[in-house]
Amino acid sequence: MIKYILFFMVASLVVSTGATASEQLVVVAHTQAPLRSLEKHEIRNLFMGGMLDNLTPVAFAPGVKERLIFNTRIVGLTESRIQSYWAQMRFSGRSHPPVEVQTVDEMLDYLLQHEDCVGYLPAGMELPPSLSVIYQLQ
Amino acid sequence: MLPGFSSFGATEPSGIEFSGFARLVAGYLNTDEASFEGYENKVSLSEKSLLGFQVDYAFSSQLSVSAQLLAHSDDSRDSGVQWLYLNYEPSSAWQFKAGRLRTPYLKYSDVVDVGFTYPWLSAPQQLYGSYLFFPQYDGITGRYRFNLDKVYVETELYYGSFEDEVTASGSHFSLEVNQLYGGVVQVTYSGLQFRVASLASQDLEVKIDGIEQLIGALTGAGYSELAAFFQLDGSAESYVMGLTYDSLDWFFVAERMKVSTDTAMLSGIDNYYLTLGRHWNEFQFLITFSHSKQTLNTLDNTIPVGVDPNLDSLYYGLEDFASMYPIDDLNTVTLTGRWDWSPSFAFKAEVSFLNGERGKTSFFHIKESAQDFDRKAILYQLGVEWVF
Repeated sequence: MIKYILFFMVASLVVSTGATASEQLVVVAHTQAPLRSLEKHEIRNLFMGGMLDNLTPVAFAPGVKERLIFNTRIVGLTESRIQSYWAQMRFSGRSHPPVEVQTVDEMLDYLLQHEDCVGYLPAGMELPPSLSVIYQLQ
Repeated sequence: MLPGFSSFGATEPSGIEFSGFARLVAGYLNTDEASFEGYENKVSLSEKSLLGFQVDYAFSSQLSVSAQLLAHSDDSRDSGVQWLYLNYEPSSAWQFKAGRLRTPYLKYSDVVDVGFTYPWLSAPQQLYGSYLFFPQYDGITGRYRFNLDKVYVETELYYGSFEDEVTASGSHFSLEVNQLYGGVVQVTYSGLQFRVASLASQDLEVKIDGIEQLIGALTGAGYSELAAFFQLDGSAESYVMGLTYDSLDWFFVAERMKVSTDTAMLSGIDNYYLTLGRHWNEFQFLITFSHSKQTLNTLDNTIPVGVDPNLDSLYYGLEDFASMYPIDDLNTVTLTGRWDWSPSFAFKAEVSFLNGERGKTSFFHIKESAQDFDRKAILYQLGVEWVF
């Protein structure tokens, strides 16, 4: 039976679906001084509990389309794996998950009300002048 | 600010936060000749099921206190306060904790009770078995994080002491570890993570009921070398190397642990596991191979039999004690399925094919009437993991 399971797992490589989300996002920051553009690995690290210039990440809640795109294309992990990771961080006292919002409007409101926060939004939106784009996910 | 339970991961940090975790695990072992991790050949819910609460209170953005309380259904596990520590973060790079802490030795050792955090239902016994590491300690820890371009490095040093009763293959031991210390270095590059950790003590004491009388009798009879074998004071050093790869489709986890000590019970341990897993949306399927090999300092019982009744009883008393020492040579193949039903709730099913070595305990607690048990069995488990 073990042989068959291993075969099934390897065979699935051939039919692997991978990331299908093609929508575009922009990662934006609300900072007093203009912020440099960030690299993808810096954004991933920031949203996975890492440190970056005292910036605070803001994420969408599970189930929101933009979160799925962000997880797939920036973080590179499934939602299940991300939830396991944050459970490990929380219950080992290492760090806490980002603040979460439910809608694009909530994201905009939160970012405008909190300085030094970084969030992500659908590309093509008209952005308030206090928000600057620090990464474009094509 | 009103205290409240967090909807896991969805709140802004506040003064006081409550969170928790629970697991309900049913297990069945397909043999009546032995038990494994407490499981026998009847369905049991009491070996791994537990409920934990965590309270975090932030005095400021830099200073907080955390406590974790655990109610465990397994009689051999302590319920009560598992964590109680003060947390100080002077910057985002530094973190210090002081109090009762979990040992950050293996990848999941400080969250071994939070089954939601790892893919298996039972973390590989060969490394996560209760007596192979000291699960918690009273002391301090310091963590420092930095990055070199795309390479992220996390370092941690810890120091403290540990005192507890442990159970190994049905035998009970009292462990006292003074001056426990160790370190962790974790290097992450994209989905790849390499981890090394150490755990050591120069002042380790293992007590078994009646051992002092045996040592006294052996010394009195002139067998000082045999008496020295049972002197369980000494030092221990242990190292772990781990490799993790995570992607949207596949994941791989491996850890190898080596223990060397001058205390016979823990001597010469060289164990590892390899896990290969596949994600399909909210489902995970994984296969794990775990291996343990222990080389005990061998005891040569030189007491003559049939010469003197007192020496005879000493001979058999010594053999009895020697047989209590667990020697755990075991290969396990484990198949696990996990379904994340919601962001905080997961179902798991697991089958473990256990293949131990005859003549050794191999993590089994073998019944008196089944000493010719072949050390082969299948463990079936079903479980629910919840974090809140």
